[in-house]
Amino acid sequence: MARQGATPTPAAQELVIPGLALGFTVYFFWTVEELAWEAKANGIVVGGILVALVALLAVRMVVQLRRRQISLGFSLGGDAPTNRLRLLLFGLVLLMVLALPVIGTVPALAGMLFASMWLLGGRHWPTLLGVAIVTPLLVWGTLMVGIGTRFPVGPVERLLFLLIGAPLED
Amino acid sequence: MELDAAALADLFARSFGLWWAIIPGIALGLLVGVLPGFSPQNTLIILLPVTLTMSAEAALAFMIALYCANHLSGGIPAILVNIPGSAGAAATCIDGYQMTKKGQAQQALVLSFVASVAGGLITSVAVLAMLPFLAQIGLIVRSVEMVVIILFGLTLIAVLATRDMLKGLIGGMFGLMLGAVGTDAVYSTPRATFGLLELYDGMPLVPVLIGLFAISEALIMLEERFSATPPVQTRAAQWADTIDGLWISLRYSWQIVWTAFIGLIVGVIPGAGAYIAAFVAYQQSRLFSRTPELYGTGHPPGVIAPESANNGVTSGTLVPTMAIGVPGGSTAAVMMIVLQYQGITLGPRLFQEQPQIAYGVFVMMTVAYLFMIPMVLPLARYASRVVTVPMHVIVPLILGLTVVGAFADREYLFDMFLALGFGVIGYVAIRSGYNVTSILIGVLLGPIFERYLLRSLRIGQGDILVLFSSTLANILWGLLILSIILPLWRDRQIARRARAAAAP
Repeated sequence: MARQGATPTPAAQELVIPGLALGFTVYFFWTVEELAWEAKANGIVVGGILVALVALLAVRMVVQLRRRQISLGFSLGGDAPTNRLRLLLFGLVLLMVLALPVIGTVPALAGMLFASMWLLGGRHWPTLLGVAIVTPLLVWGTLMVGIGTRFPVGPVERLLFLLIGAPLED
Repeated sequence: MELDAAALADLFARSFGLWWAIIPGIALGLLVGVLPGFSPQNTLIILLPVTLTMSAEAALAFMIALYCANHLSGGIPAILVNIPGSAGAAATCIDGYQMTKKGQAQQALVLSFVASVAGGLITSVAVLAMLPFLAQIGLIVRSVEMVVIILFGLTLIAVLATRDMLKGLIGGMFGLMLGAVGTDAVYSTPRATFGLLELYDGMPLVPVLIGLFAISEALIMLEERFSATPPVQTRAAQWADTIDGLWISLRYSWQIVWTAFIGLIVGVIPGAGAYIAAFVAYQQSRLFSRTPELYGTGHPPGVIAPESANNGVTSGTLVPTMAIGVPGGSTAAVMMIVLQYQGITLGPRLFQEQPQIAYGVFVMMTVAYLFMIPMVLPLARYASRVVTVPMHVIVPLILGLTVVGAFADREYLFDMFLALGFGVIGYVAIRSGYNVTSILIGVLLGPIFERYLLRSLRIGQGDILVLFSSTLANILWGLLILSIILPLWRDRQIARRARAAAAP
């Protein structure tokens, strides 16, 4: 419990998950509105408890606000440069997923690994190249060749399959 | 299947036959335990595509071996460089690192290995002996009780694994709601699918797991630089030190036994886990010691107690997973997901429907610990070369491999996007004090909860009061309410005492 006079800690971030949960519960109720009771029962029981819990959290936060223990500021922690790095890294992973169907799994993963390691400050070339090349090849070897998972393929995978003489499944 | 000598011998023979899955599991578990940042659940997540293609028994043997070995090797960096390789080894740092500073690194490692292996072995055998009683649960527990058990399990996780019970409960309920996505069981009408065909079968567990655990954790790890305390220069490893370590372990053998049971008991409680068990064991060991002042200065029982307890947890955690279908922790949740994909539903009926799995789990665990004995003792001589993988390599590897792994299960690109979405949810959840384990366990148990709830309501002809119609269910409701009220009452007492102490 914060002492009187101490700086209130920002707490708006604590409302994100309850907000998502409530929003999802409302959407759930909306989609089951005209369905039979069997389809609704679970949502009503769980959703009901969830709404009650979020209401309790809201009451608690109002009390803490009035006591000036918390403020409505928003903070997920971390300094600005790290948060920028985090966003860029997430963007790179998103880019990899978007690029997968276009250029294939191996180059997309290799590109993402190389760019991410560079972004995070890796400058040791043998490590950068080694990890960025060996890891996608391991993924290709174990998941695509070994297990037969149908990952998106591009020219690199076609070449690799051609090299080992394995048939490429469409 | 009765657990008689012949059945037990058969299970042991089958488990030894799975050596090809157990030995790589142990090797990998030992390796990732030494690397701070690689949790066993992350390793299991990265290897999900591989385990999903194995038979249920082989996948289970591999996962269990990896899990147990990871609990053992987490103590290595704790002893040598004062960084716990896993959360359960945090308490080992206190005396382990002090022993290293005193030039007894090798002895400390041997103590840790012996305590871990013996603690794990003792408790897995103890659980095996208890299993015939646990199997009876399936005959007593019905749908009504299962509804309460699931809610009780989620409440315990909220109370024990999170700092804020209310947030833990909200996380668990949010998970249960997400678990209700998909077509309903009776009329197959879609619910909360956002019009996406990919969600008609329900919320896919693998991308949820990857997002909540691996992606969110990797994003948080960016702030850690693993600025390890430089390893203390130790003299060359000698076999004499290993033997000395074995001798000290023998002197404290009773300590190994009783602290292992602390681990087992704590592990059985959903949401508790290795971290709590290790500290409870350390505290109890100090409490009952004749020389409590030596703790923290490199005292051997200070290494034995947490290591034995955190391996006692391994079998304890799997007890609620097997017996009631509520995973005791995050690694158990990952195992449960893999088994669900194999068509195996854990829970009270498992002992009747697939006894070879229910009993086999603990036999596999015993066998894994037996295999570890010859593997870990020589390791003490070479373990001093602890490698800390830099953050700029670990984070991209976790992100890349797990996101790619999200595709492998259903072969939908959508699952990769879903994993990223849950990664953001997990990151926000962790940062704002919500527990991702309770969300995941909610999603995992959501469909099971709905099934039992509907069955109960049909029995009660739609009357919700059916949930209060049995004595056992009512006792469980009582315990559930107590588990919510007691921590609140305790917190108020602590706050009152603190106010009284602060008053002039």
